[in-house]
Amino acid sequence: MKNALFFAALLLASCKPADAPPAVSIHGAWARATVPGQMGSAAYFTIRNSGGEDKLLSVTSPVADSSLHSTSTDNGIMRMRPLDALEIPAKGAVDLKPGGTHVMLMGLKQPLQPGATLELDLKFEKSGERKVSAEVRPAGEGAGM
Amino acid sequence: MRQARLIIWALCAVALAAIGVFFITSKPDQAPTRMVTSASFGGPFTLVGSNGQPFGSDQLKGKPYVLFFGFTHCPDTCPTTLARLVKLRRDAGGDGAFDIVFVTVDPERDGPKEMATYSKAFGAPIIGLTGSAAQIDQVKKEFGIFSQKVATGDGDYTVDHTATVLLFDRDGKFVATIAPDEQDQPAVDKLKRMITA
Repeated sequence: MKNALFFAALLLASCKPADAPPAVSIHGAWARATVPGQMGSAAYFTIRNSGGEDKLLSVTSPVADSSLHSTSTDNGIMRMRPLDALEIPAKGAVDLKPGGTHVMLMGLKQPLQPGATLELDLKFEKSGERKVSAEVRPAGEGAGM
Repeated sequence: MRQARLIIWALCAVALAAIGVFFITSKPDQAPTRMVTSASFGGPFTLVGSNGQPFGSDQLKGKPYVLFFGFTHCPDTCPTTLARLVKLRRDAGGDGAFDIVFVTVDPERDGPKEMATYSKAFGAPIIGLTGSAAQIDQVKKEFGIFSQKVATGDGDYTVDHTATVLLFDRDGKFVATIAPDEQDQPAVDKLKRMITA
């Protein structure tokens, strides 16, 4: 009986959805415009996944040092911390948005002009590399938190 | 048996009472670290305006204003909050309904010039203020603002800081706060009350 239970557990463990290949797509990518002298900004997008789980390992851009960050607010104090990776759940979606998880862009080589596009290279653990063009929007937009 | 049950019930009642007493008496300890009253909060200050000239808090009198602390290199929270304040101000009465005052917690990198360009980036008037490290420290203290530099590893840094927006009426009296995660509608209601106060 004990053995049967063990095998049942083993069977269950081996058929978890993680084994299905991920099917990720990136939507609505945008970045916030900057003014001359401003070195930092952020980019946002939604990742949808209709397959098995995946992980976003890094985001790079030719015009800035970029990294994944989370913003958390605790007792009114905003703290920003780097993320090693971003889990993309199976059959789910992850929103990068103002006041939450975002791609931090630092050391911008030139200001981001509204209307321009910013190239981003996303690297997933299983889905490999994806290129995304983020639309640069005026700083006064994207007030949603 | 019956006696035993009675004793258990009695013990339960005592325990409940004890818990009740504990919650009632321990409440004051759980209050915010600093009680804010309009009389003790804030205070007169002198900073430096975007034109490089001294800017005193008395220059804000006669019109309600909101105070927000941040820094221009802030990638996410500060531009998000400022963009939101511009939008909420339009919802609450228009660009002229009150002043949005943005004070840097990073005077090292944010001089008057940086504050001037940054404040113009949001398509609506924003008053950008900086000052000496000592002036900024004093204002932070007066308004209970926390900030701390955090190295990003490449020699650069960001700043963790209080992101709560402080609301003042036309006489400079503190009236309310807007938390970063607060919904738009209650925030607009607070701003409207501030405008009519």
